Amino acid sequence: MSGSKWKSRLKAAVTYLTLTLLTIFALFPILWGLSTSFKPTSLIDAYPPEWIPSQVTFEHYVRVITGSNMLLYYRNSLIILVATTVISVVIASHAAYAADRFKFRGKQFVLFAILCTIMVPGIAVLIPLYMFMGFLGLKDTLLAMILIYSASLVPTCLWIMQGFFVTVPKSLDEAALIDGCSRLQVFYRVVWPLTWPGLGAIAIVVCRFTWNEFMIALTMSASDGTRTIPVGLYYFVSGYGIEWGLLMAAVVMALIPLVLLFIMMERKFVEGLTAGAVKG
Amino acid sequence: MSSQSPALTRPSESAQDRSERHLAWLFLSPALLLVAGISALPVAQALFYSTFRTAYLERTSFVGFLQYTEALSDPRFLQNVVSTTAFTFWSLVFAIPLGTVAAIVLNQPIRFGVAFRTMLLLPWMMSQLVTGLLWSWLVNALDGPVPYLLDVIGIAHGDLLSSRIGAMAVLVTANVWHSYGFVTVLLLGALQTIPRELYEAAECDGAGAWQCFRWVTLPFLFQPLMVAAIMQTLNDVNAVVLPLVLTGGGPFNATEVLGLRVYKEAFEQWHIGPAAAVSFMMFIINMVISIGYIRLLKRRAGDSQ
Repeated sequence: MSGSKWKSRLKAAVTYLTLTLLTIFALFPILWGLSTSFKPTSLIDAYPPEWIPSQVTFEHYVRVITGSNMLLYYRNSLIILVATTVISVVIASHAAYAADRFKFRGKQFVLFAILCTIMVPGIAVLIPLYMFMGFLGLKDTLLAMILIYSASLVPTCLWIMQGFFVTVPKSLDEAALIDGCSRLQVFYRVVWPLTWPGLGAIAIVVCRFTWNEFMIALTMSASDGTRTIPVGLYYFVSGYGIEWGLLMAAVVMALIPLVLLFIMMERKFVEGLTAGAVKG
Repeated sequence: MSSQSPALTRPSESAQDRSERHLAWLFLSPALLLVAGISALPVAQALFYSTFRTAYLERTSFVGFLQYTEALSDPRFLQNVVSTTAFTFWSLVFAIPLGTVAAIVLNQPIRFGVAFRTMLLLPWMMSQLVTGLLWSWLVNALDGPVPYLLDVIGIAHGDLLSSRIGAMAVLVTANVWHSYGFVTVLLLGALQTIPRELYEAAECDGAGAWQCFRWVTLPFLFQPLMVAAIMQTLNDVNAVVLPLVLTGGGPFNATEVLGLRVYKEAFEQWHIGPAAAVSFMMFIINMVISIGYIRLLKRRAGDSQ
């Protein structure tokens, strides 16, 4: 009796100890950055380091907002985010419906070919894409990034959406067809609306990708009107020398929307990723 | 579709089948076009450029596969392969167990479960760029907290980023910090599919905690662990931004992984041809790893039927 009680206490102790250690590891770099962003410049170089600033200042945040184009980069990132989400969700949903509901010759091959593009390393296609966008006259436009991001995300989204279409019973399609709906009506009015839960999962995958993507954005943008947040952060490093207080304030500002989104939708995320990566 | 007269259809195919086929291709074509134009075509173009000498963006002369053999016999390329392998290997060695442990403790009935889960998965939401910036500030030689803590414990370290082993260790640590959450997410999903009754049955049979883990939990985790390992390998092999920001490939190219080399060669030196040759070799490495992945998924699909 008391033996099993002792055992379960030990188990709880080990669990919480592990959790604490992991949490310290996960949060330490972020909290250090956060702490730096609120320190006056004179305290930033203090040795030994001051963990919690003894004086708090917002000067770095004010300078990021008033002295840089961060707000413009925010706007650019948001436009790209919304447009990429809409395009990849619409395109992937149609393809996933066709893949799940229709029988036709060559289907397996087409799906396999689309899936295969996930093995293309980003860095390998960067130069050709740079030239291709020049050829299309899309150099230094947001549209170039939207197109490239959508193409990179469609295979993953297709995969996730297919997992959700499978869960909608086929008898529903048949019933709607018998009731006189056309195939298109069946898709738009009956089946697609039932896969909305899949959108949450997709949205978070798309947001994580587009908000964070750096290499393509760096290559395709040539002016402030098209630079995204990650590119803006990088210019803080190379442009100003490194002013750590300023840079950390910018990093914190870049992270806020993503962290909020993650806190709100974290459950969906685990679901969606599981559906996308493990369902065969 | 019901308006089509039967006389127009081929005998082998009903009117309904045919219109379904047309609609299917219509639904698939945007995805196909986008993926073909923006993923497949550029790979072909990279292959094409890898067979030419180039000056800036112009092709100057056809050289066949010369640039491949040049790369393969170049000591820098060998160093790139060694760095990429070490980076990938050590990242996996730490990220997979760490991610697994995190998933297992998060799957216990704990207080503040959502808060813990959010905090532990947070690093994975961030980009390689932000990871690199945060960690370069953590380990900076002048007054970074990591050198300070090493001083306190009494470990001699010098400037971490200017020794070969130190730079690789920092790079791997930052990458593990950034990527273990992916393993955790995948395993959390899998852990939630294990039926409770299995544990109850095992406990009735007198199995201890370790035996429950070994014979009930682990078999369920095997498949997602393989998926996580392969996806993570793909991620690490293709890393560019984290090494670029954190170490810049130094010291003496010790942390110059393949992706970073392609980036530097293409966008800093504008040697498009040789860069394309190395990047196409990376593509082949990716293909080999991915085939393992697709086989794994196919086997799983076969199992569940």
